[in-house]
Amino acid sequence: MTEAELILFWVTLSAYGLAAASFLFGLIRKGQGADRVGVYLAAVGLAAHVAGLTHRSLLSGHLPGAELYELNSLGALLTVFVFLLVQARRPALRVAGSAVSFIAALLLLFGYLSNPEISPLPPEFRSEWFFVHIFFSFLAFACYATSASASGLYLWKSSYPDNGFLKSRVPSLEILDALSFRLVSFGFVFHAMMVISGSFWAYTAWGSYWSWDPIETWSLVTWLIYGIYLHLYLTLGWRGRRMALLNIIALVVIVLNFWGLGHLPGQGGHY
Amino acid sequence: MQMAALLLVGAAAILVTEGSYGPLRPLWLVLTGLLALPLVVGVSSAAKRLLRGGVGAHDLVSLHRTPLVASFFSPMELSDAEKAVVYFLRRRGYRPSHGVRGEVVRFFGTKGRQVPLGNLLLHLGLLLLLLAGSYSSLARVEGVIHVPAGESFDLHQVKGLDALPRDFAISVDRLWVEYYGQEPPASRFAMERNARFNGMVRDYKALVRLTGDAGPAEGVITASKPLTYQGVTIGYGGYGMAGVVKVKLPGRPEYYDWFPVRIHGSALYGWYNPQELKHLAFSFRLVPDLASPAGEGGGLPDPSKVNQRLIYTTYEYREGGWAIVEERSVPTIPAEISYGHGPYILRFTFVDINRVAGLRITWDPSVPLALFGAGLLLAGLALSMFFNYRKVLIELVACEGGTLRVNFRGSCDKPIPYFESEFMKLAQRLRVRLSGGGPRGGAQGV
Repeated sequence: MTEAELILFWVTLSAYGLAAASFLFGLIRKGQGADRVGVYLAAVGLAAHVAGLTHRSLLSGHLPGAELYELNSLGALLTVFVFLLVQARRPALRVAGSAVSFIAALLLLFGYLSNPEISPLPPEFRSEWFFVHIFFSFLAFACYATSASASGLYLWKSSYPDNGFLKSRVPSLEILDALSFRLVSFGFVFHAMMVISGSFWAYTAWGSYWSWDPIETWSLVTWLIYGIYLHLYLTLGWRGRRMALLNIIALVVIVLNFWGLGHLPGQGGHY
Repeated sequence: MQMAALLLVGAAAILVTEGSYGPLRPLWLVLTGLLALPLVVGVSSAAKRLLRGGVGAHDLVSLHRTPLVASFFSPMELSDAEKAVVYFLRRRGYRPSHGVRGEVVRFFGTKGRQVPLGNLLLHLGLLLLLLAGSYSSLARVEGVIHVPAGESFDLHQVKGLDALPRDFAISVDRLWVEYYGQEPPASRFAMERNARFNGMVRDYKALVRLTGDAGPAEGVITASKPLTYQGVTIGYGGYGMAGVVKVKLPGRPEYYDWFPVRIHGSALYGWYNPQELKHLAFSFRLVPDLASPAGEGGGLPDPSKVNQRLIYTTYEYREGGWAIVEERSVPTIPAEISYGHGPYILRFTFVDINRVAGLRITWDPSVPLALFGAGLLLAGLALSMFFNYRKVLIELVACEGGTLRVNFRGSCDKPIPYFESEFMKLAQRLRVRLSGGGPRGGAQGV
């Protein structure tokens, strides 16, 4: 990492951390002002994050995606970006900001601890499809993570229906439910694009568009879990706590898929 | 019919995982087989809904379990109210359709895309992808050949590629490795990049010439950009040193085969055990000569600068174990090592990274089907997820005293909160339109 990138990294991490604290403070003290500060801090963090990754890309000569640090950093960036978009449309969802900012900060820190040094892109990764694959994978993750945060709020609020604090600060259960669904449906489409673009890349790099390696298979499994979620929601009309729970479980499977399976040896082109 | 399709797809799905996976394979077999079931049901139900056409109360309920409901009275005559309802639906962008059930006059209005079309495309696309995967595992022909620069190979001469339905000659005119730092830095960033990555491999490239029925063709292939000729994809499949062996079996034409050579420390190791001669095996060790400074940094020894010795060993399988038959050590890599074993003749040649391109040859007839399936899947997803489909039902029931009872219901294929505000506005406007000069009765239970 260059000095400039390191400074931008710490600005980003501090801003996300402070945003998480600010959102949490707003949640506990019922302060709309603290929420607004949280949004500003997350936006400042996002700007520094974009600057840092742009600087790194210019230096390395390729888009982010060559190593774990870049992947995690991209994931954090898109998660905050999706959250800021969603809260602009539904300001009541700012209460989920503490969870989202915390996830983003955690991703960033995890990447930094793995190895933040710039490395050249391996020859077989020099494909446009690879970057499309990476971009959509983390865009899907960002949608799923924000959706799971809304589902977490749903579970919390529905567990304490008479709690005045939750009544006044957290959006209605119907809104949380609908928002979770909406974000999952976006994530589902991005997830499909990730799988398809990954197949294109695999075909150009290894001559086979699907080889049933563990990451590929589990990526399909998680996509199917979200497919089940959508079917239950749209076809069978399931709503409420069980759907919120399923949404959170699906996110856990995604996390285990990428951050668990990806670190096992023998993953081919996958991390 | 559905069961037959299910069985067919399930069997095909099982073939997808054929030969892959190890201890967890049964799980993937079950998973793939199960995947086919909802897909077939999904395609079938979506097709039924699409073919049935029109809309009905059943669809209204199936869109959402709890449709929004409003109810009020209108003083208008039935015929006037019918005209007003049609006008109202059209003005609000809903496509009206008319129906009568007993004493009740019903109007349906739909807005947005038909859900079944999106669902049909989505499930059909996924089913096609599954079929493409099965077809691929059955029909795909794949192999790696190592072509030394300046040499030409006929694909059918190469072991494993004789099953290719196309035949053409492939030759490598030139191959080169691109390293970081070779190009002049165009910017401050590029200069710094060169300083960091200088000397590291950037890409492997080969200028390939192809001669076949489709006429001569040539192109540059890289590690991530293959070339396609007569439906056969030629990509970079391996880099580094390889062993080439020409095997002559009695009564059969000579064929080429390849074996990998790996770097361990500063020495190179290769192993070859021909399938047709299972009792024979060969190993090769290319080690730096002790007198030379070879293997600096553990990298590939440069043959032009480093003295090397080749130690090659022949094994035979006897009484449950491999026994060394012969071991030789030669000071330089010979142009060719011949080995005769009864009527069999094997001729070994070594090639290194600077003189050979490891080309991966793939013929996969399922690719167009997979592409089509992927396109359908994405189109279906876009239609299903990003286009709202809204449906309203207006029932006009003649009541005693010349009034009309108006039942207004609405639903959509997305979460109700997204439709709620629009529905309430519609209900309010419909009530005004059918009030005949002023509201009467009032809305109940919107």
